[in-house]
Amino acid sequence: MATLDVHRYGDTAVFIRCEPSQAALIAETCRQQFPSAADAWCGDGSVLVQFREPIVDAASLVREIQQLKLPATQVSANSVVTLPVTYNGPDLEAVAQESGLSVAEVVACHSTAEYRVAFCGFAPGFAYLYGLDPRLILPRRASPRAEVTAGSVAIAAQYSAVYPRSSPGGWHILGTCQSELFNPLQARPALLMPGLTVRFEAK
Amino acid sequence: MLESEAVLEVITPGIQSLIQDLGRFGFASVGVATSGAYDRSALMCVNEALGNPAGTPGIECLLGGLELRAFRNVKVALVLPGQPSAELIDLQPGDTLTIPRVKRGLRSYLAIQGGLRVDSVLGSSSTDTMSGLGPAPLATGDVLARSTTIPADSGELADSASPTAAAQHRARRPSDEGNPRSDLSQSIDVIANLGTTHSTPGSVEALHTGTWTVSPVSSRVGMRLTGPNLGLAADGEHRSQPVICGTIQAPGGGELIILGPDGPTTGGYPVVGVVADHDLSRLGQLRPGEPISFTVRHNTAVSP
Repeated sequence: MATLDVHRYGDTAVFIRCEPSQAALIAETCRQQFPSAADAWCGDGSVLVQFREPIVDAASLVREIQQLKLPATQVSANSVVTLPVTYNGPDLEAVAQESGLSVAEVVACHSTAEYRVAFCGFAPGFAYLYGLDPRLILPRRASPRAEVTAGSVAIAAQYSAVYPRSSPGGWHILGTCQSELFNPLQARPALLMPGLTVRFEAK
Repeated sequence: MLESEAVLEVITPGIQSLIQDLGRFGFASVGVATSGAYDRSALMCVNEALGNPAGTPGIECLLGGLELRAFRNVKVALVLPGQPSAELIDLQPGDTLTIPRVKRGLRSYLAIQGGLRVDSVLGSSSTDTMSGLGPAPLATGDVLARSTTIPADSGELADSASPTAAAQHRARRPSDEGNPRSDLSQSIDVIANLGTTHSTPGSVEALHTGTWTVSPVSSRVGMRLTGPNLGLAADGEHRSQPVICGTIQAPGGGELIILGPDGPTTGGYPVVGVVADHDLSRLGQLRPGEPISFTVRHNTAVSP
């Protein structure tokens, strides 16, 4: 197996550039293999391993991570989360128009695809999902909304997502999902964790 | 079982007074920021002065103005921005304590002996101003309780014995040893990491030589700076990458954003460097309108 592309990042972290499909697995493996790390998490084709103090022997750490043995499959990869969606979003018509599809086709495209949590960010529990039908790939709305309500199921660029709580947002809203996406009182607070498979089910 | 007793009442919170410890770690993969005291060395300083574990929650007060009244005998430690040591204050029932308006720096820190008793969320008592996790900002009428037993998980233990005679009066800030951290006007050490950032040799040089101004649109989420253009190619959208407190982003033009403790866990703007760990605390004391300059270092040049 090829070695990982590992670099230092600031003086407390190490940055790994990788295939987007491997990022969640690499982050999970780093969390297990380096218990002294404060945290490890992924972006789109990259992973950061962060320590609470400046790294003393960075060269050894970089070498160790370069040689990291990844398990064949992610522990969480077999888990599938199904999210029931009411497709009643304010942007359905506009998305249909821009993509040249009917509203029914937009709903079918969005609800039959299989998604994978690529990474999280923006807000606690906000998961960027890979797997959007290429016909639905649109730039963000020209003017963001001041408030997108919690549970809004939305798309932008190559991603789909569900807003875990109300916030400003510039994504196209297709529908509503009642599932609880983030609960800070749970030991595993987020429903959608990197690497999980996600399906939307039209109600 | 933790016991607690009410010790202080908030008469007025000032502009913003927040409960902070040393941060919330382990949940960045689901979008939870580290949060925690912006000036960590100051929080550690007030805790050390009282013999509290270093990560015991304290109060971070923006610009001063927090006024408290004591219900019972309580010893507190206060450090104002840039001060090299904490002041220890014994309060009697009925006494009031006001954190003065600060003329330089931004954030004062106050801890109470025994530690504030605050419910923790995902392993931390810190208020995350971006996500709303953790306790609400202090408000008039809030009652602050003291732990009568120290929680075991509240961070690395300082000297658990009662403070020494010297510490009773002056506890030096940990980061002050051999280095005048309290000088708020020094440039900020930055590691450029050419391999992992969008920097070019030209942008590194520009970052090293330029001077920026802290914008009023700055908070614990991020500090905006205006100044010279780094000359990076504007090549449209960038893939989101993981980011940390101290990451310097260049959204375009002459603007820079330095992410703060409540900043996002991933971001799509080009990254041009990361503030060295030993200078994160000073970042939390930079006022809007003040100049800021950087000393670009490579990792080998930064002593741990």
